[in-house]
Amino acid sequence: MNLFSLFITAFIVNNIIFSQFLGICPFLGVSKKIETAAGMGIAVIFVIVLSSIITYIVQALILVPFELEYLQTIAFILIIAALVQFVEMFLKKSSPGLYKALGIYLPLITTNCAVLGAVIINIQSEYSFIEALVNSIATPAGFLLAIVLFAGVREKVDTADVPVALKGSPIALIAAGLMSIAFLGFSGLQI
Amino acid sequence: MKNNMMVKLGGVLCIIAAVAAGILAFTNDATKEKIAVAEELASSGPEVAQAVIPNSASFELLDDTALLDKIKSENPDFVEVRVNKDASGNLLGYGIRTWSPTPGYAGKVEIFLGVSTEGKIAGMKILTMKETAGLGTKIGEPKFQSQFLNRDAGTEIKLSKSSPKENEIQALTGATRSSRSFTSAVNNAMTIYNQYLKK
Amino acid sequence: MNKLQVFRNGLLKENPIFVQLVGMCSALAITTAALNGIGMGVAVIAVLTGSNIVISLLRKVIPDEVRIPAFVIIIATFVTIIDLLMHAYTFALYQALGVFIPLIVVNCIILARAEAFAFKNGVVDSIFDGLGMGIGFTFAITLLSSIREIIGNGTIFGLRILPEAYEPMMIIIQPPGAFIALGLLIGLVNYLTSRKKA
Repeated sequence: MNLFSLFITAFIVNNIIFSQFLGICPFLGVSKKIETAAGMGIAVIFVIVLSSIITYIVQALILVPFELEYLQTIAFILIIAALVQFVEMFLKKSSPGLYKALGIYLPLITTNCAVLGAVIINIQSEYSFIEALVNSIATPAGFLLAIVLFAGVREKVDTADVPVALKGSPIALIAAGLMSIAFLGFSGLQI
Repeated sequence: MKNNMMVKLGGVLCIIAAVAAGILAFTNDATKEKIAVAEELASSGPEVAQAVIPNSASFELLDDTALLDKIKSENPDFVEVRVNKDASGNLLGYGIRTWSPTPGYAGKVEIFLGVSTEGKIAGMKILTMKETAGLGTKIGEPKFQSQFLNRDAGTEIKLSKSSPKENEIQALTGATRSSRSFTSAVNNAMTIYNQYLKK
Repeated sequence: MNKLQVFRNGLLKENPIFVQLVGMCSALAITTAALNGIGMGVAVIAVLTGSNIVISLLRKVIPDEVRIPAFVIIIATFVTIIDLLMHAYTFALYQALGVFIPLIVVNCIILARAEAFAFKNGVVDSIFDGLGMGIGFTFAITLLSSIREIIGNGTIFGLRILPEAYEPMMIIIQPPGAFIALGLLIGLVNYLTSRKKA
């Protein structure tokens, strides 16, 4: 599969949020304001790209040769947890504003299914290193796209007249569903 | 003081990790055989044999490693060929196991296709697929698969979304990609049969 | 809070899916068939109860600063054990749940209960919390799966209950259907609970 079509597939056709349902918790939790959503999206790109590289190497050089595949989940999640810790320290020094805005959601990137999901998919799809790299950039880029678009929609919905029972998460989910229909339109796309 | 703390913290984590790894190693060993048996059964057990060609009593791997290697080198989606025989030892046909060249909605689909000694499709079984439950997974149902039965293995099968013609089958509504993927697997298996196995 | 209250908490008042809104990824992804809902639910109950027990037992031993990585290791161990056991003994369900089994590790429910409950309470209480939350989760996703399976396929647990002539509303099985069905379901739960209060 050529790299460009791989990118487009991971970015929109199989969008991590609207098609694969990975990363829903932060998607619903951090999408109330566009700026915070964008910051989260960028942090996630950073974490996924770095963890993809490290987990790929660990899988290829340690887990497979020593037949330790059953330790994959533990090893990968520890790598991700360590990386998020570094991103936290880095942001604290270089961009305190963003660090404060993300708040509790920054350490929660560790439990963001999108991260663990993306690195496991790299291995399961038997991608080459370059393919895994492209996938690990396109996938969180799709997350960024989804969360920023959604934040834009939510900012508008917040000012609308919604029935009481649907206020808050129900209407947010329905809005996400309608956006998902839009993304469904990409599913026939073959480049 | 700070160094001491870090050592203590790191130490506790390491002990927990070590115990965890030990427990997992034990569980892995304990389940290894059962897993291998389950995988074996799911991919070449009697149930699979029957689905591939009815009345199969034996389903052994083709005894020609050179040929299998040759096919594998020329057709990367190919997995293996098994020989279907009935209870009296008569040859019923071949079961060709292959991945689909065209991926479905969620990755490639792996199937076993049965071609009878008359060169017709006798049966099939999906071994691996990650399609959407209730939608793409319908390619595993008789309603969809029966369209392929008894077709001549020498003719490529095409997909049609509405009224299928002579050499076409009807794709599933809302699961075109899954249908296309399955069809490509069938075509690939038939190509392998025609190129290497047809006598 | 007595033990029964702890247990009932997870079922309704603080239901992970309907109220706390955690564990959404699996709720949306695998709920296309009622059987998947039950299967995933049982796996989560096992992991949640197991990890709650261990974390509660070790709560005096785990230093506060490294508690999150420690929780993660313990949870990941249980998930891998469940993964291996399912691979060996319930192969068909294992295939159906796919990548979502290892993803139980990052199912926010488990980490949230470890942090909010097991780390601060005794073992027996933690068992009740794990069971309550797990069953509440299972109930929610099985309900959602059943609705999606009935409307989208006319069947429940594979048994046909709507006539063959029923033209299924396929979109409910596809991703948009998950969001919308869950949104409406939560809206319904909100409506019912607000009426109870009134």
